[in-house]
Amino acid sequence: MNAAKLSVGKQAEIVLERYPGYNLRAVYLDHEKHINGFSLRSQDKGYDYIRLDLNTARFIRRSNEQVRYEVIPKFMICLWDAC
Amino acid sequence: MYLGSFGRNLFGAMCGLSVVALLGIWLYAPFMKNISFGTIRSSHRRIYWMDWHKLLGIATLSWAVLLSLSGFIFIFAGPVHNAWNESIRKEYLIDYQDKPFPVQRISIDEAMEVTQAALPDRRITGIEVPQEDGKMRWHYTVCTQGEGWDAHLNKPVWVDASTGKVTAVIQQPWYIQMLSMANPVHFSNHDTLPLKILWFITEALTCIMIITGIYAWFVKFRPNKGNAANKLQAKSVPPVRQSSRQIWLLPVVIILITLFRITAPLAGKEWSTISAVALAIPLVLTGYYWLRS
Repeated sequence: MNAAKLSVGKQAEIVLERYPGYNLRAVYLDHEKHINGFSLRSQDKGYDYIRLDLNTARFIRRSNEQVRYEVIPKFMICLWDAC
Repeated sequence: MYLGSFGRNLFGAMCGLSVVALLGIWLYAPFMKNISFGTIRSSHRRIYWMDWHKLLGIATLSWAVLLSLSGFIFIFAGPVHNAWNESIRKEYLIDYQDKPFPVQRISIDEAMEVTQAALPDRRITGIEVPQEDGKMRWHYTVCTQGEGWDAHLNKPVWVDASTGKVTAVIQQPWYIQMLSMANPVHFSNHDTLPLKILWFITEALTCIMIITGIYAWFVKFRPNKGNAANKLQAKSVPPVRQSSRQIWLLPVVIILITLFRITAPLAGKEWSTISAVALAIPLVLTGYYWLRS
């Protein structure tokens, strides 16, 4: 099973659970590279951009021009179990 | 360049200046009246570098013009896009102005399903969620792309976030479509490795073309130190009067091939191979005249 089997809406839900206080602004789908991007905004924290690699299930977070690589545990669980 | 909008505008201005500089093509014919295409004369240092400048200029001209022009459009097309966006928002959202921001909204997945049903032949590339303080307060904006050329043209669908009904499928006018093509022309039509290598060589030749032009201009102010061998070589390339057709035939062929090679991959990846072959032709020609000289 891979992350692509999760609907985009479900992926967005998991991202928002991981980053509470943020609102979802937009989702961008890169069909060639199998990467979905989630643009988030918070009144306190500003803007964040999360890129989800559907092949590896890794998240790349870009916040204030700082890039961090993370794995969201719940998302990893969702890879193997329905959630 | 980490310079924000200043750096962006600087790049755009440089692209614009490049297009202006490349209008030097009008000087090509007067300089080629007495020599055939690709002749490299070594009778004088300036003539030698000018001949190289003309040969490389023709080999890289339309490639450089298209790239500079598309870069300029890509950077400065923003206000046109914004004005058009504003006009269609006024046209389609006039009935929504008094409605409150929808608290109960359909899900992203539902918005995608509605869009896919409305445009089954296109695929979804993005979903913008309605924002209370944004310009699209009542709708999901779902961006879609088609196949081939259409893959570079966005056809957004506005899905009412409360009812889940399609409010509008936005058809871009021709001038917005043309502006939209600047991005793929400038960035993303060299996906395969052969194309990347050939683009690199063409880019290097463009740099050499600029350097030879500048160098030939500087050499102009130096005294001629011709020697017997140079004079002999000058005699071996006698001037031959060229007609306009003879002057422009090969350059026009090369320019047309170049235009084809840049635009063909935009129609789909299956065109990449033929584009690489077309891209190689001017480079092979340049190599041929180099060896011949």
